[in-house]
Amino acid sequence: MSAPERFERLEATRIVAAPGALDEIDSPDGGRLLRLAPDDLLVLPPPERVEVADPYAIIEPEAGFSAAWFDRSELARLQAVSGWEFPVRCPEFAQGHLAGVPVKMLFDEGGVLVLVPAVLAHHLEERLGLGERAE
Amino acid sequence: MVLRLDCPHCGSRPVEEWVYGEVPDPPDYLTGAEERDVDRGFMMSNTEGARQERWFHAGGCRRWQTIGRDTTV
Repeated sequence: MSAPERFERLEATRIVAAPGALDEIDSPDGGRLLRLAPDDLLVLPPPERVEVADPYAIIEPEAGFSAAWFDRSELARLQAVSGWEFPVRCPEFAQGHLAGVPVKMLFDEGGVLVLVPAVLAHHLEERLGLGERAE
Repeated sequence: MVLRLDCPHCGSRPVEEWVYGEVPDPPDYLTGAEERDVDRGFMMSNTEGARQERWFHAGGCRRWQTIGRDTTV
C-alpha cells in the first residue's frame, strides 16, 4: 500500500531557543530535526535528553501534530492538491498548504512524512481520500 | 493567477496560506475614542505607493513577516 489509511498522533519534542543554539543541536540516532523557523525546532522522536546552549530555551513535549508516511509514488497526487512546488532534493523539509490544510512535509528517499495539526488531521484524511483507498 | 508571497523560511507561497495583519493607524484628524476604535477595526488604509505590511504565515512557519508591497504596480 503506498498511501496510509490515517494519520497517527506524533510524539516529538519542541524546542524554542536562540537560532545559534538550535544550529548546534545534533540529530538523534535515527531521528530527525525539523526546523520550523529560525528559533523553532521539532525533534523526532523525543530524545531522552537534549542540550541547548540557551538559558532561556523552552523544551516541551509536542503532541499537537499527527503524521503519516506516504510513498514517493504518491507525490504527484499530493502535488496536485498543493499550490507550491515540492522540493526536488532529499532530504528536505517544507511547510505549506496541502488540500487547503496547513502541513509540514519531510521529503526523504524512502517517502514523505506529512505532519498536520492533530485537530485538522481528519479533514486532511477526508480531502486526500485516505481510508477509502484501502482494501 | 495566484498571488504569492515570499517567506524567508518556507519560500514562495500562495496568499491563501497567509493572514493579513495590518497595524491599525487611525488618522490624526479622528480625535474621538469611539471614532478611532471604529477606524482601527474596520478601515484598512491601503495607501497609494510603496508600503511595508505585516503578514502572518498561518499555513507554514507561523511567523510574522514584514513584506514590502507597492499598491501602484
